[in-house]
Amino acid sequence: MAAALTLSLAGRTALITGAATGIGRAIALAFAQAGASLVVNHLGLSEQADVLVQEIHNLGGQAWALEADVSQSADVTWLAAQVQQTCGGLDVLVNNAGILQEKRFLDTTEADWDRMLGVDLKSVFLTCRAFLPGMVARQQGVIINIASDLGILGRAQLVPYCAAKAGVIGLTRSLAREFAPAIRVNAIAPGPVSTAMLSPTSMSVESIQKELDIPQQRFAVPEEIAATALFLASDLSRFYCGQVLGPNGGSVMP
Amino acid sequence: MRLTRALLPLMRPGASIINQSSIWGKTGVPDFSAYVASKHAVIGLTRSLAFELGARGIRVNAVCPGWIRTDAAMRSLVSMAQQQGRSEQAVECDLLARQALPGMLTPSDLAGIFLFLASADAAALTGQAIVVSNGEVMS
Repeated sequence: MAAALTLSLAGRTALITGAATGIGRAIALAFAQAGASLVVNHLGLSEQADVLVQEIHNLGGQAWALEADVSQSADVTWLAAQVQQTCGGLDVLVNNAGILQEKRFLDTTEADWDRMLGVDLKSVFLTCRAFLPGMVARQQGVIINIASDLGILGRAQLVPYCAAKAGVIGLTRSLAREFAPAIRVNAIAPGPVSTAMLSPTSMSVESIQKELDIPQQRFAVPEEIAATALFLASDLSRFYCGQVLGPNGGSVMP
Repeated sequence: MRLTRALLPLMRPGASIINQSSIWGKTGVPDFSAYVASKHAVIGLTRSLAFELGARGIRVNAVCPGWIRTDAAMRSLVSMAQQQGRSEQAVECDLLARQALPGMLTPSDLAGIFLFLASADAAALTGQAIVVSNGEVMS
């Protein structure tokens, strides 16, 4: 066995999509503390992204904020070019950007479906397609896709979200097989997490209450999901391939 | 999704929706990532709808067939053989070797599960994704 396996990400560059707030922000900070250089992607949240970049600088790390709508092909192409130019290559891609809209299925419009599938699933296709050629050329790379326990369980009034997140799991398993052994692709399917997505601004109080009906009877804090992401980004997980890890308080026990 | 939404108002308690997924809705394979993502998504949609329509007495399930001797599946087999630079027979032999039961499924092998899921005998089944694959995938 070569060098000891550690959680260190020293010398690695990581891109987190949707990193200005919530789980993405916690992952960015955890990776920075582990020594990675960070590209903080966001959409329309420059102020929060700049604060995060400053926090990473204060930790002694390197970080750049790049605004791009990852559901749009042209934006992702631009993002990949910027990352190449600024960092010279990408070691870790975390597909975290996501949206959720609670709506009864019969009220769900085609535009609702397209928007949610665009941000929650197509974006993963677009970023993987943009960054995998560089990873293949360097014969190394890690991709972490943020799915959801609801992609496994299903939930009423969240049909497009659950379909998209189940799709992320299928995409993860296929890419893992297609790009192994050089590139590792895994997913995280978190249970309920205290973020803006799980607040009364985007979900009804009844639905939020329902989310507490899990063995641990509480929401995770974003840092608890970031810990799993750090593990999957590090060499400690180098035999993990196409897996769906579930920091979920017991909501899913496969 | 469009068809389900259009027909739902016509459905009565006891109605059954059956969505066609695939064993690739349960596992992944190289070179078919978009297809695999879509078949996983069908299962996510099935499970959410099962919750949402349960109170109306409408059941929603998915069927996940393995390799079936159809024109479309044979085209996939030909493309896999070309990508791997091997004969179609060799690729087929590999696929069948993963099954517990011998032989490739035919379309009529699927009829039974659809009949069962549509019937009142399946009254307690909803949100399920049932694999029919001669034992290729067990989960």
